Order: sequence, then structure tokens, then C-alpha cells
Amino acid sequence: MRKAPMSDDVYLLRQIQDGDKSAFRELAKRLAPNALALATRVTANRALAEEAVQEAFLDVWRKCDGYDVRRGGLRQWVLGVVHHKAVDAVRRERAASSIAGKGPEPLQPDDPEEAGWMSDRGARVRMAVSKLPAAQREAITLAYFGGLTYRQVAEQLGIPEGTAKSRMRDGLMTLRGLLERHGIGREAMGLGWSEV
Amino acid sequence: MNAKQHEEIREALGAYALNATESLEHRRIERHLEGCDDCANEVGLLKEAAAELAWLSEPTDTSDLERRLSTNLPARRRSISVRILAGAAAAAVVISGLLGASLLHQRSVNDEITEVLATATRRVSLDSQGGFQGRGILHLATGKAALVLDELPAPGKGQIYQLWALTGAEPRSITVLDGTGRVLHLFDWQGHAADRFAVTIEPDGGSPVPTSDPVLVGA
Repeated sequence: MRKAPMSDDVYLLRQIQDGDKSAFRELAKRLAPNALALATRVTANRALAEEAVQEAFLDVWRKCDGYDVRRGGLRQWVLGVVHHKAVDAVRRERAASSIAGKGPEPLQPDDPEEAGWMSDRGARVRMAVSKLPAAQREAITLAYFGGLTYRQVAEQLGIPEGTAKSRMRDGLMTLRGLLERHGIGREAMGLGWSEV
Repeated sequence: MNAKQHEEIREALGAYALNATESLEHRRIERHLEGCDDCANEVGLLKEAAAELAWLSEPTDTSDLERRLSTNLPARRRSISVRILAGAAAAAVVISGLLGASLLHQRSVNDEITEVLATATRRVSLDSQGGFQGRGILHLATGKAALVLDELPAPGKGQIYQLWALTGAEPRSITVLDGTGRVLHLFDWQGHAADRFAVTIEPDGGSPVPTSDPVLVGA
């Protein structure tokens, strides 16, 4: 299995916490492709997605002092903030108008090692998600990528709200186990130091 | 909060981890999490799984966006004390919670280094001397310390790096280490008084006193 470049991330976070803007530029370079892809998938609108990513990275810059590496990996944290901003953006937009937009062309990052790592991780996550029970997978993907609330998911699927909530909770717990089976455990989620 | 309300919130934790709650309920859950370790631990696990979903999207061309993300950043004051306090509090919750859930892997060097980085009470940047390639940061916590070195060249055949704590001109050997590139070294730290720290290259096994000029120095 490929070694995830996680220890780099922890070192990078420390530099960013010290106010090092060049380290932040490196973070942007590493994570912007995935951040924008995620935001675009949630919002289905490139401009809205870019706005969400910019808001998220600004939040990361402002709030990184309070971030504790033991809570999880830097990448997971940053992409979590991006997802939150994208969901907020799409809900605001949906409230105001319908969304129309064209997704960007997928592109691998410049660094082949980074690209390989991302691609490998994506493949393993995809495999884990594919093994979820269909009902749980449906509820989770509608919420996560569709930016829907559990009430909207329940409405869309014609199921009670309580069922939508339990499919999400049970599904995420199941996914956790499946991810571990595919080599994405707690350490791989962000706390791996393999160079000691 | 009664048991029924607690259970209602618990049922919604998956939706919360997916950002699939409405804003009012989101805030209600966040208030609950501040006082409920069980739910806070569970939501941590759920969020870790949810975060992995981000890797399902194909990376996208962002060269222009990358530039915008890192320009015009507002000034940010360092607040190490805040970070240390937040880190210590989070550690108490995370470690106890995960142990309780039997989900914490055997405590490893990785965990210990992460712990030291988060709880360090003193951090010392080590700058290169005399054209030496490499740099580092020393993180001193209670009982343990971690030395994070970057771009470190090989010390040479039969040689090793040695870390010294200096009080005035008096050096005290702290630890020896080997490696190249990125080196993460964990060692016991007894909280010796030290004005400065220095790294020298010494014969394999270390030396009782420095025998060469420091290649890295910091205070």
C-alpha cells in the first residue's frame, strides 16, 4: 500500500499555525483540486464552488490555531470545512433560485506521487462505499453530495424522517468499518507517522 | 436534557456529520455536544467516515484558484497558548472516548509524537549554521520531546546527529539520532534548564562532549 503523505501535512499545519504564508500556499496547492471538485459536485456550479472553497480556506487560515492534530488529519479537516461551506452555499442558492452550471474538467494534480496517492485513496473509498447497503448509500450520497437535509432526503425517498436519520448514522458507522477493511483506519485518516 | 431528548439528538448525529441538518437543529446539536462526551465521541467517528467521501470527487484544475486562495490573507496573531489549551482539552475527550469505545489502536510512537506536538510547552526553531542544509523544530512537552527535522542530509559514514541542551556554555547531551530527509525523533525529556539547543555531527554512538561545530542552533 502506498504511504500517505500525512506527516508532511502535520508539519505543514505547524508551519501554518506559525503564520507561514508559503506553507499555506503549499496547502492550497495540495488540496485545492480535491476541494474544488468536492464543492463543484455539491453545488453543481463552478463559480459557487470557487466561492465556497475560498471561504473555507480563509476559515482554515483564521482558525487553524485552534485545530488539534489528534482530532484527525489536516486534509479531512480542510475538506470538511469545504463541504460545510459548499452545502451552505447551495442551500442559500436553492432558496433564491434554481442552479445551472457546468462542472469543470477533471485534472490530476501536477505531483505524480500526490496524484497517485489521491487516486489510490479515491479507489479504496469508492470500493468501501460500494459495499454499503443500497438504502444507506443512497441516503448518505444524497445528503453529502446533494447538499440535502435529512428532511429533504426523506421527502425525496418517500421514507420517514427517522428512517433517513438512522440510515445516515448506521451507514456512516458501517462505512467506517468498511474503510478500515480497505486500509483506511484511524492512522490512515490522518495521524500516520511512518518516517520515525 | 432528558433521556428522550438525548436519544433524539443521538439519532441525528449521522445527519449532523454529513451537514444534513438544518441550521437551527445544527446549533442545538452543537450545544449538546459541548456537554455530552458520548455524543461528541460518536460524532467524531462519524465525521471521520463522512470526511472520506470527499475523495470520491475527481481532482479539478485549480491553478488560478490556488493563487487566489493564498493571496490577501488577513494578518493572524499567533496564539500558541490557546492552541495548547484546546489541544489538551481535546486530547482528554478523544483519548478517553476512543479507549471507551475500544477503537484506539495500541498506543504507538505516532500517537506519542502527535501528543507531544499538541501539548508542547516550548518550541524551538533550529536554524542551520555554516551552510548546512536542513532545519528543524524542537517540541518540548512534559516528560517527552519531539525533534522534527527537515531536508536533513546523511550525517556521513560512521557518524550520527547529537542534540545538546546548553546552559551558558555548558552542553548537556540530550539524544542521538540518525536519518536523512524528514526525520521525526521522539525522546524522553526531563525538563532540563536550557538557554539554547544545538545539533552536532558526532561519531556513531554519540560523544560525551561536542567534537564539532553545531550544524543547527536555536534558542
